[in-house]
Amino acid sequence: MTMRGVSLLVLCCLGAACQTESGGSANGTSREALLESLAATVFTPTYAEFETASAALAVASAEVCAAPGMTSLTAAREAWRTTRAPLKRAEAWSFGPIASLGVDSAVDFWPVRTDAVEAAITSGEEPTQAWVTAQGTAAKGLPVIEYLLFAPLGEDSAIVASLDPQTPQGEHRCAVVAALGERVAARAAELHLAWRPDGGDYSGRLSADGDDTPDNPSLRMAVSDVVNGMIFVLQDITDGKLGRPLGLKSGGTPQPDDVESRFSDRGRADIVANIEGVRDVYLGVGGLGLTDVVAPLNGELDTSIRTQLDAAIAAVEALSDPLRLSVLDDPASVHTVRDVVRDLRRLFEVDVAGLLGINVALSDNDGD
Amino acid sequence: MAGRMLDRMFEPVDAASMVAIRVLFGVLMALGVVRFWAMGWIEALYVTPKFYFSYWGLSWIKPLPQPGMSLVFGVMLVASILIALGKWYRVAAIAFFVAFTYVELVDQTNYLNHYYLVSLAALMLVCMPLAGRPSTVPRWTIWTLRLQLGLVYTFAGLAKLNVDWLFAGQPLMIWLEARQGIPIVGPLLAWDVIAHVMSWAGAAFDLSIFAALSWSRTRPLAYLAVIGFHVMTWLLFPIGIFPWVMIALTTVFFPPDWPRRWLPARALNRVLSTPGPSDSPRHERLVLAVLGVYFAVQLIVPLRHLAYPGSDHWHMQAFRFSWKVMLVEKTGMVEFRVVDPTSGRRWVVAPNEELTRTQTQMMSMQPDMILSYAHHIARRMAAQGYRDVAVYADAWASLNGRPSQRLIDPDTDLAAVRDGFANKAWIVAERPRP
Repeated sequence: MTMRGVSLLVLCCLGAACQTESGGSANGTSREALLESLAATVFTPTYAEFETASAALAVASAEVCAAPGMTSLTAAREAWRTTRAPLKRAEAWSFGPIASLGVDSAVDFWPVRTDAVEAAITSGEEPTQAWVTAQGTAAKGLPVIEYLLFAPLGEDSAIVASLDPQTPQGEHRCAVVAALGERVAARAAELHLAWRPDGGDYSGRLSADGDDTPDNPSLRMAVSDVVNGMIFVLQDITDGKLGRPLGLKSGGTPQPDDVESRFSDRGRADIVANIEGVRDVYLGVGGLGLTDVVAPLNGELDTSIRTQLDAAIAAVEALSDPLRLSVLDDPASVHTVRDVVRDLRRLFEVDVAGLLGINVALSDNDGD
Repeated sequence: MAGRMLDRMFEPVDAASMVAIRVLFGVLMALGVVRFWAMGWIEALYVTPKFYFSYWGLSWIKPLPQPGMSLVFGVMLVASILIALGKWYRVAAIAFFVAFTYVELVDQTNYLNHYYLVSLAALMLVCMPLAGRPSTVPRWTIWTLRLQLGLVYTFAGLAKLNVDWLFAGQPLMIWLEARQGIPIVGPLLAWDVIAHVMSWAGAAFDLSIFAALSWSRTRPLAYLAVIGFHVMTWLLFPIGIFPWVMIALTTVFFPPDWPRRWLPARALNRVLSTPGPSDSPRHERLVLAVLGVYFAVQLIVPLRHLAYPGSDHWHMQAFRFSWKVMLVEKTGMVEFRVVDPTSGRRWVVAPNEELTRTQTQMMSMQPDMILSYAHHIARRMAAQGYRDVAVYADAWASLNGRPSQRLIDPDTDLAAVRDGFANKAWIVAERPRP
């Protein structure tokens, strides 16, 4: 029993706050139960999936060198795509170890800077794990692997040739792919371990009502992180992943090169996975979700969010692929999709945040 | 009658209670400055931002480049200590008032009711004869502070007389629900009835405490209520040193000699002289004129919301400097559409690309700050060669748990709107609670 608890108990009783026989009732799911469940059924399993997929990518990347050709290239590309899905879903909760360990920028710095990548490759240094670690975020991670496996689009034979270990340049290039794949797998394992109860146990600390630090969040901070994580990824979609290619930052001139995963043309699928991540947190995956807190407080809002989640996923899926061409050929449709996602973002950023007393832009300064 | 009142007002009384307030105020402010520094707020609030939301007509007040702002806080710290000690008192009080008020006027983002109260209290200290070891002070010094505190509580109470507070238990219901992680009592806080009871109790406290503290028979109990109320708010909400400032300042309602009854004479002799006859000039006319103007302003400013249609909690045109304390849980979201009529080019500006998170949050729910930022965008575009851009705001907000709705008319070109005290007709009217 802490001093704060005892003090509040006394004060509540003094203020007649303990006279609860007038029919009031606690409002639904506790924050602790919600966080416990999300950690066990959504966050940690997704990182486990990311770890497994990354390990497969590391093997497939090494195969590009060991058995050069279209078959190994196709397998590596498929492994890369499989790795993207859990990582993109996990963007809906970009707090905790992924930020504190720097895994987000190390494995998914975007947009890729091709000149930095080529400069790193042509440096001729042996691509050991130490070399990869020493590279800046612009020269490593999944976007760089994507560039090496997919660019230039439609020129598969040229890509196979560029990765041929029989040539001096190809030998180095495919070794870089293998090293980068291995590094992504190592970071994914590190990330998963940080969440696992038998590892860093961030999943346990998330619901343990800690001391309000990023490593040991209080319940209030943890719920705030969860809601803010969803808002952040939705804003990233409206402003970055759709807004930037649409030219909203450049006076209306479309910027197809700003589409995420543009070399693999997985931009649309990345956005769908992002929103699916938001849906997983909101609805839960075989456990509790934020809906269990929101619905008892405001059923109408809960219904609106569920409807808008489905609408947003459907709208993005209905866009013609690839996204880099849609922003040029049919920008009106992309604008419409952005509006749908923005409406979803508003429900979280304004309505849910207001309903739960979440400080969207958390300030440490005193209130009122 | 008036003559008797005037005589009483300028009658010298024991300075002990006012010196106690001087010491407590100085100590609390020193602790507040140290805390502000330690939390990294000087950097976060006055160095990091690239843009500052100036008050209307005060755009010339800018933050000093570092180490300037740290120096200002250093001045505040030294001045606070000197105020507590009573050394170089007048200079220290003026320095503190100027430094503190300057800091608060740099950015509307950082407006807090209790900072405003601290500025007012510091201004009062500047005008009060509390230097060194005073023996007596004119009674008006005590009355002035009492009346100021009475206005704070009373206006805070009047502001609570609204549908949200009294009948929906909002925003307390939202805030208490969010604090259910607090040990022991946390689960209780999620009960709706608690929010309703605390809302009514809070309004009753604010509306009655001035009278209860003023009447000697109820004063001890009222002061206990002050302590209980403010300690509870300190435990539940992140309101920093405000509760302690109020607990310290409300000691002014006790008889002027209360410290002599409660504190050891040895300690008191260091800060007080023995009361005796006073031959200090009374400056009656000057004091009356200054106090008359001061309290006229203190009455008019919080009532100015009557000049605007609709709920001030929504349009917030008269929200600041009005003692509307902890009344709203408001969230918002805004993005700006910029159109250059000459070239037809269009941009969408997300404020968080330039503003800090706190600034973005505060602006997104306050129309005057949205207007201010729209003007800033127009100026920024002009500097890039787009001289006559139109700036529109897509802004939504939610007040006290209501469904979100538009806050600003999306078809109003804010770049063409002049700021001022006139009613902002481009603020969309608030929808009633469903």
